[in-house]
Amino acid sequence: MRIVLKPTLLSILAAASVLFAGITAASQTLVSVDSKDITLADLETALASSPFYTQFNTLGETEQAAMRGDMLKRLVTAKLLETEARRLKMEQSPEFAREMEDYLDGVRFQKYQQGIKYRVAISDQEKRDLRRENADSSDDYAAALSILTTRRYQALYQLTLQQLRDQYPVNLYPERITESLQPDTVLAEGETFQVRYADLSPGPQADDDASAILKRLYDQLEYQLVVMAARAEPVDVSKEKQRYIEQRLPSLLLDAKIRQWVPDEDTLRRYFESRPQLHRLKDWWHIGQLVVSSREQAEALREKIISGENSLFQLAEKYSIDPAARTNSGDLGWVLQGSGLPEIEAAIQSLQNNEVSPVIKTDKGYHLVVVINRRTGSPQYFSQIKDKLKQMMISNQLQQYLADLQKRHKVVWQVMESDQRKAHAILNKN
Amino acid sequence: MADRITAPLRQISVSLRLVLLLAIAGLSLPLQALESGSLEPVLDEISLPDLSGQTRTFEHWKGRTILLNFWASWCTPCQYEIPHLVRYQQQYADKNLQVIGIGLDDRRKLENVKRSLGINYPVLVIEQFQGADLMAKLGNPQQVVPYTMVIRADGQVMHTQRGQFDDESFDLFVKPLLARP
Repeated sequence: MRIVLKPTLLSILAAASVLFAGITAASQTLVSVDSKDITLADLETALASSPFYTQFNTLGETEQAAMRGDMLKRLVTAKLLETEARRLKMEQSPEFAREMEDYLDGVRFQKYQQGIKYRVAISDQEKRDLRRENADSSDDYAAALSILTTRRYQALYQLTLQQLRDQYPVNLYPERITESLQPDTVLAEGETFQVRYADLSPGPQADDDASAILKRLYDQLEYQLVVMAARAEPVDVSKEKQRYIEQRLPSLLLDAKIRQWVPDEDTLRRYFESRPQLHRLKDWWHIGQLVVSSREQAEALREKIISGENSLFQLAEKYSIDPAARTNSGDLGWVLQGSGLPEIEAAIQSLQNNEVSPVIKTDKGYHLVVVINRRTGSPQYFSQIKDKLKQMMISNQLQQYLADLQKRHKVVWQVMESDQRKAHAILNKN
Repeated sequence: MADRITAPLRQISVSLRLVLLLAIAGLSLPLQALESGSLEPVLDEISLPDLSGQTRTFEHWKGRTILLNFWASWCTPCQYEIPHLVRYQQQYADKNLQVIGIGLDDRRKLENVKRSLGINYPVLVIEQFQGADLMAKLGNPQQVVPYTMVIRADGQVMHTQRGQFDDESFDLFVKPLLARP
């Protein structure tokens, strides 16, 4: 039975439910975004292709579940962005199409070469001969086999290139590589293509000489020929195309949004200037504290401290209702600004070192505090934290943006009920 | 002096046996043990805890064809290789094959990998540097993992391989040793 729950709670449950990968089908949908599914197989593929996969296998079940949950959340975010980018028809821009074709040409080039590699055959007889010649060491055998394979591939590849040059006649103009060479000078051309100086990867170089240009021209021609052959064959790149769109659209949309959120440095500067708390690092205070349950007692103890009869620490050890404070004689150690109770922090600001505070009321009781020592945070300048600010701005905006996208596109978390019970059991155990 | 005389003789006898074997059984490779003969005593002395902490020696698996695989949890090629070893164990257990892993690692990590990859054969645990020393004594002076040894039912080491153990190696070095139904 499928159930629909809120994402926050559910991301944890989903993470745990995926623990039971063994008993669920790989095609099981975990989450759908506008009825496009993210399946268990998608999640496993994402994990297996991540750089931490080797490490992932060495982790305990709970840690793995947490990582699966994180990865699933990332996949949902990417799917949301992709869906939105499609709604905005970002994949239909000519720029996107050109970028994608360039990428796919690279894939065609590689796949065509790969096809030649598959055609390189080492017969069983040849392998047997190699084994015999290298009977003492499997390392030597592996090396010999790889040398033979490479040689045979090179020969076959060169032959293929030769055939392609016959098939797609190319006129070369090396004589045009002179001092007066211009970026748009045509250095080679075939029936359907031209190679200009500017086309040579990675573009015209300041220290180019004739031989370097010629070498890059040959490389470019080889690329061009192989891509043409791959297109004619045709080498199937439909899966790569789909993957490219799925992976490129989210980052394309995100880049566009980031340019919108943080268009320039002035935006960052305004953000910085409107937030005084960012202008210096936080203070550290070494604090002593005494807590009692009535104002009268607090006032009485405060008198004793001021008159010098007892120190705050002696009294804290004896009277404080905070058990931790009593064992440490009220010494709280070093505390970072912003991590304590707001009423106490406010009082600390106006205290001298070693001066006892007035009685401070909080919902924990009636406090007396002293600052034993303080380290004042140093000033923080815009130029130092520019990059951090940008990240802060982006992550604030992104959260809101993703929340908006979830209203526009329906995100449905689907978890098997039985898994959910097991997930609960596991979560409770830990 | 003696080495110089005997060495060529030994080579001749090896190739003779090879030809004979090829002729008789149509096999692709000679099935004689590695020449050195120095590895077997090292194997006999191995005594290591498995993942449950129980001490194991090779005596326990005497009479079985052993595929002994040294690995570590941080080693990516090892993790690529393990699913193959799992498959071999599953497919050839009834033909007397016993895959044994020796993990050069922390027990907890090895156990997690065992669970994650569904390892269906025993894994012995050894500290990394001791494991490297052991491999050096067992024909792997480079001390690289993965490292795999093929051990015949009578305890003879038939083949050693650094790097991933693949189907080609399995077909060539292990299959001929397995019991026929």
